[in-house]
Amino acid sequence: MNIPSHDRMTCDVLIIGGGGSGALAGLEASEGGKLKVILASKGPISQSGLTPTGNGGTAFSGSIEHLFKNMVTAGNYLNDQDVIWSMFSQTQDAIEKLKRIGVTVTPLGPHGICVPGVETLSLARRELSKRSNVVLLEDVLITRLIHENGKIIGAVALDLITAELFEIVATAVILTTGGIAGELYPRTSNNPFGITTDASGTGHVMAYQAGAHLIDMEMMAFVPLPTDPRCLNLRYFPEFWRGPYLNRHGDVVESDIEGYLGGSYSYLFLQKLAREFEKGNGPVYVDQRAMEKPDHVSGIRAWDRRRRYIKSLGIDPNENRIELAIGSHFCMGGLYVNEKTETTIPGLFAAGEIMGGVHGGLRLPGYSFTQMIVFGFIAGRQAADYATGVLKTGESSSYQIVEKERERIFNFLEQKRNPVSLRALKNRLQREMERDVFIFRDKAGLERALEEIGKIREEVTRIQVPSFKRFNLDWVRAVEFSMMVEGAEIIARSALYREESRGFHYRRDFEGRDDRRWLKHTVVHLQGGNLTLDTAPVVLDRMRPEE
Amino acid sequence: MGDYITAKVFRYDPDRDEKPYFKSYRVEADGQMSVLVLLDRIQREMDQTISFRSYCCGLQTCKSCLMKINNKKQFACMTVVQPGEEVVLEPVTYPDNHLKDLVVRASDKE
Repeated sequence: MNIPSHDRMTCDVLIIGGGGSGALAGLEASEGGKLKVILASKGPISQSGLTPTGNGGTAFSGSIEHLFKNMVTAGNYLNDQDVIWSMFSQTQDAIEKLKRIGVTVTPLGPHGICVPGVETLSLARRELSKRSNVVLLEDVLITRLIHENGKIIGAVALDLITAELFEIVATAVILTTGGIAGELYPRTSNNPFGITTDASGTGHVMAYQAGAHLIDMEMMAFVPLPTDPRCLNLRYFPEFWRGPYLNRHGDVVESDIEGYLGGSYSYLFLQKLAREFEKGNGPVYVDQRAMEKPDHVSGIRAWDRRRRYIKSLGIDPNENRIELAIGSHFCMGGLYVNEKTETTIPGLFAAGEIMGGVHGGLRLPGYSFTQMIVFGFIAGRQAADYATGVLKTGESSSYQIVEKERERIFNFLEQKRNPVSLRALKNRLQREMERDVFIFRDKAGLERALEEIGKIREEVTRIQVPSFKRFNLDWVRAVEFSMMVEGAEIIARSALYREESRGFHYRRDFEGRDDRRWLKHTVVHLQGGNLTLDTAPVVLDRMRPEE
Repeated sequence: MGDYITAKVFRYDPDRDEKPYFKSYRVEADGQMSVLVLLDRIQREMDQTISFRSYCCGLQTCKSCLMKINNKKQFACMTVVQPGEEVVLEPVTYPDNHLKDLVVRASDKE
C-alpha cells in the first residue's frame, strides 16, 4: 500500500472518507474491476472516523412501514420520504452484501441487528486491498474539491506523512466524510474518553465551497453525557439511561425516559435537561442505584468488553450516580441528495452522516448505521454508473487551484509576527457554539454567534503550528479548523433563518412548529461568493402531518 | 505523594532526526489515566511535536493505538497508569513500517 510519488493521480471514482459508507462505496464502485477507484481517508480504514466507535445497532425490523413511520414522526416530517423509503427498501440487499464479505450480523432486540463497525471496516479494507483497480490512500486528507463548468472534476489531497500536496483527477466523487457535530462543541459524544475523533465536517464545507446545496444544517442533535470523560462509553448502553434523572437538590427531573420517542436521544428530553441547568438546578444526575439491575447478556463480544472496562474503572452506573452535561451528537442536516445519493452538482455523490434530509429533526438511535450501509452501497453503484456513462474530462487547468491551496495550507507552518494558538481559537469557537447555537436559540444569540464566528475567521490565517511536516497533528487540525469555522457559520445562519421550533431546532422567539410556513428544508449554498439562504420543499409523498 | 506520571517516549522523525531517542515527560496526574489520554495530554499541553495515532474507537478493537507499553504490545486506550508510575512507550514496530515517533503505517496483516 505504498503511495506512489505523484503530483497528480487519476481515477474514475474518488471516495473521500474511510468510514462505513466510504469503504462500502469503494467495494461497490470497484466491483468488476473495470473502473479505477481511489479511496482517500485521513486515517487508516477501520482506525479512524466514527464508524468504529458505534456499537453497531442497526434499525431493521420486518416492517418497512413501521421503521418509516418512526423516522418521519421523530424527524418532524423533515425527512425526504422518497429517500428514506428507498433506504428501507434496500436494507435487506445491503445486509446480504455485508454477509458476503464475511460480516457477522447478529439479531438485536425487536427492531434491529448488530453490524459491528470495526469488523465491517476491516473486512472491507482487506477486500479493497486485494483489488488491483483500487488505490487506498490512508493518512491522506482531502482539503478541497475541484470543479469546472458546474461539474466536479477532482480534489486536492495532502499526504499527512510526506506532506506532499497533489491533485486527484476524478470523473465522479463520493463524499463520505461523516459528521460535523463533534469538533464544534466543547462536549460531544463523538470522542470516546474525551479524545478527539476529529469529526470536523470538512466534507460539508468542501461541498459547499464547490457550490453544492446543504439543507437543514440547523438540525443538530445533542445528548446527555457524563461529565467524566472516562464514562463517555456509557452512552452505548441504553440500560444505563433508564433514569431516574435527578437535579442537584435531589428532585426528580425525569423518571420515565421510555415516554420519549428516541428515549435519552429525544429533543424534548434534552430541552427539559437544559431548562434544569438554566434554572441553576444543575448538575443533573442519572441515578439508578435504587433500580433493579438490568440484564446484560448481549452475546456481542465488543459490548461485553466495553461493559467490563466501564466496571473496572469503578463507574458502574448501578452503583454510582453519574453526573451529566449536554454535548453534541449528530447533525441531521447535510448535503441535499436524492435517493440515488446525487447532490446538486453533477458528479458529486454523498453517503452516510453527511447526507441531509434523512433524519429530519431528530435521529433515532440505530438509524445512522442503516443509512451508512445502504447509501454507501448505493453511492458506489451510482458513481460508477456516472463515471462509466459520462464523457471524460480532458486536461483541466487546476494548477492554480492546487498552488493556491498549497499556499493556504503551508501558511499554518510559517512563523508569524503575531501568531494565535489553534487551541485557543478552537476553544473560542466551541464556547460560542455552546453559548448561542445550542439547545435554545434566539435571534440575538445567533447574531452574536455570527459576529464572533466572523472575528474568529479573521484570525485563522494567524494560526501557527510547529513547523515540522511529518504526521503533524496540530497542522491537520489547523487545516480542519479553517473549514470548521465555515461550518459553524453555515449552522448559525441556517438556525437564524428557520423561524420556528421543530425537532432539535428550538427558537425561543418562535416557539412551536409552524407547518404552514416551515414544513420545508432550509437551504444554504454559495452564490457569487456569498452564503445564500433559501428553502426547498420536503418530499412528503407517503405521510403528511395531520392538519 | 507521586502526583506525576513519567512517560519515556520513543521519538524519531526520519525527516529531521539522525537516530531515534527517548524523551521523558513528567505529567501532572490527579488520578489514574489511560496511556492514550496521557499522550493526548502531552501533545496538547507539553509538546506539540510528538506524533501518535490519537484516534480512539473506545472499544479496544480498532488497533489504532496498539503500541509497545513497557516492552509489551498493548492497547494504549485500555492500559491504565497510576500516579507515581513510569511508563515506556515505543512504536509497535521499528524500523518496519515506522513513520514517526509512535506512528506506524497501518498494516494489511491482522
